Amino acid sequence: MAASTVVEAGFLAAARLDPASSLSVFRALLAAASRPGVVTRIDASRVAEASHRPPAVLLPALALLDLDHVVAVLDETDRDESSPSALLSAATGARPTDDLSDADIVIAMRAATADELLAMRRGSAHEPELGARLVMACRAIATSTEAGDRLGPTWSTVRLRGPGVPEPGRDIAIDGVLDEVFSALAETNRDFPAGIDTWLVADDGAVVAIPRSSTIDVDGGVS
Amino acid sequence: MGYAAARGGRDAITAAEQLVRDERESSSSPWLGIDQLIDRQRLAVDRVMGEGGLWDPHLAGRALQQAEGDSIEAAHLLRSYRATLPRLAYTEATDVDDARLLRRIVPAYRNPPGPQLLGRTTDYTGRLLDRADDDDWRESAEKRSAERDVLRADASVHAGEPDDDADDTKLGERRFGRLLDVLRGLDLVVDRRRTDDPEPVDITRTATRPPAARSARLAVMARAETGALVNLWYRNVLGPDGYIHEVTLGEVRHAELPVRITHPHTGGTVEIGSVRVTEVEAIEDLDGADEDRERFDVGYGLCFGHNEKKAIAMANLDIACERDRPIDGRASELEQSILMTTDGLDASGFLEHLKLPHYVTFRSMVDRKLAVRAAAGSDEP
Repeated sequence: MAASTVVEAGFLAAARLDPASSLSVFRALLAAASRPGVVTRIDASRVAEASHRPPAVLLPALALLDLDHVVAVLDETDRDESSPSALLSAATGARPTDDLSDADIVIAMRAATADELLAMRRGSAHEPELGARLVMACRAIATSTEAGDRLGPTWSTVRLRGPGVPEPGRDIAIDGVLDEVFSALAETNRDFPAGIDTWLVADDGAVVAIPRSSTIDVDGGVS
Repeated sequence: MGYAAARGGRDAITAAEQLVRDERESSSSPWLGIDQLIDRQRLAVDRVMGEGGLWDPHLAGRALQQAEGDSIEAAHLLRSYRATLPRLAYTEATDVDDARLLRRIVPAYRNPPGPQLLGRTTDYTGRLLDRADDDDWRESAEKRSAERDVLRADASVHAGEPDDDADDTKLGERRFGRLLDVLRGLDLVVDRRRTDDPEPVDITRTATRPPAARSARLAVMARAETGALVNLWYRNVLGPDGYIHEVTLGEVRHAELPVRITHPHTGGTVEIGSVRVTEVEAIEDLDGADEDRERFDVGYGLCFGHNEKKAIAMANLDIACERDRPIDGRASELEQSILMTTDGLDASGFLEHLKLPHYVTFRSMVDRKLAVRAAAGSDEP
C-alpha cells in the first residue's frame, strides 16, 4: 500500500503545503467554482524548486486533503514511492483507494472516461455534500476568443451556463479532454444537487471549474 | 443566502463593518489584551471553546475580543476557523480517571472514595455585588498577588525538601475511585453497557438526526449553547413536559485531561498536551413502572473548560433522554429537542439571518394576500 512506501524527502517536503500556499490554492479553486468558465491560476512555482515541484493537478488535493479523506488517482501505472497517490497519502494523511465510489476526491492524471465519471460518488438530493470532487488534468485551457483559429483536433469547446455565469453562457476551450468526456460529465450531473464538482487543471496551473450546478453544452459555444 | 436577492449597498455594508471595528478599538480605555481575557474572563473563554468545539484559549480570547463579548458570536468565529484546520491525527480514548483534578465534589455522599476537593468555586458564597472602590479593589488584589508570589518563590526554594503537605499538593494528580464504583459494588446501578455504538460518532462530519447513537447525543450536548442546554433541562424538570426527576449529582469534576495520540512512526502512545474539562455524573432514581426500581441509573456530561452549569444540564438530559426513549426505538421529543435545537450557531444563525433583506419573499407574501383578497372579492355574489 502507498501508505507504507517512503516518498523521497525532497518531494515530500515540497508536497506538504504551508498554510499560506494551501489558502492560495483554495482561493483559486473557490474563485474558479464561483465563476464557472473563468480561468484562474494555481501557482506551483511558489511551492517548491522546479526539481521537486508537484504537478499542478496535484496541488488542489495537497491543499485540501487531510486524514479524514479518501483519494483515488486515475491513470497511475505503478503505485510506488514516486506515484501521485503515495505522495498525496504521505503528505496529507489521506487514504488512497482504487474504488472510485469510495473516493471523496478523484485526481485524474488524464481525462476520465464516461464509465469512471459514472462510478464516482454523486451524493443525493438529501446529501449532496457526499458528491465527489474531481480534479482533471488537461494540456491547456483557453477562452474561446483566445483560442481563435488555433484550435486543433485535440481541443474541445464547451459552453457553460447556470449560477455564476452571465447569459448567454461562457465558452471555454480545453486541450486534451475530448467532447465525449464533457457529455458524460453533463450526464453525471443531471440530478443536481447530486453530482460531482470538477476542476480542470492545465500543466501551467491554469484552472477552470465546472461545478455540478453548471449546464454543459458540448461544442455549443465557439463559432 | 437564498432569501437575499438585493444588490448594491456594498459601501454601506463596508462602512457598517468599519464602524464596528472603530468603536471597538478606538476606546480611550487601556487596550484589552487577550491575556487579560484568558486570566480574568476565564469562564467566558472556556464557554467559547466549548461551544466552538476547539481548545485554544488564545484564539477563544481573540474571538471574544472581536465579538465584543458576545459568546455565541465568538463561538461562531472559532467554529468557522476550526473548519479550516486540517486533521493531523485522532486522539486515543483517554480514561477520565487519568485527569489531574482541580476540583471534585460528590454532592450525593459525604465520604466518597477520594476527597471532596472544593477548588475554585463560589457555590457557598452569597451573590453580593462587590461595590468596593475600584482603586481599593485593585490595590488589595495586587497586594494579595504579591503575597502569593512570595509564597510561590518560597515553595520553589524548598522544593525537594521533605514536605508535610506533600499529600495535599499532589492530591490532584492521584487517581480516586468514584461514587459510582461504590454503588456498583452494592449492585445499586443498572448495567447499561452496549455494543452498538463502539466508535464515537463525529458530529462534525456526519449530520446528526434523531434517533441518534448516545455518543452523537453526548457530542451534540458537549458543543451546545450553555443557555439552551440549561433551559431545556429546566423545562424538562419543571416545565410543561411535566417530569419530576429526582436527580442527585454523583461527581462534579473540573480537571486537566491528557490528550494522547499514536505516534505516526513509533506507534507508541504520546501525550501531546491537555485540555481542561468539566465532568458530571448524575444519579437518577428509577421509579417508572417498567424500570428497575431496585437500582439507580446514571447520566453523563463532559464539556470543554470549566462550565459546571453545562455539564450538569448535559448529564441530567442524558439520563432523561435514556428514560424517555420510546419502546419502538424512535426518537423522543426530548431527544429531538436536544439534537435539533440546542446548537448556538444553528439557532442564532437562523435568527440573525432574519435581519437580511427579505424583499422578494415578503413581496411574494404580499402578492399572495392580494390574490386571496381578489379571489374572495370575485366570489362575492
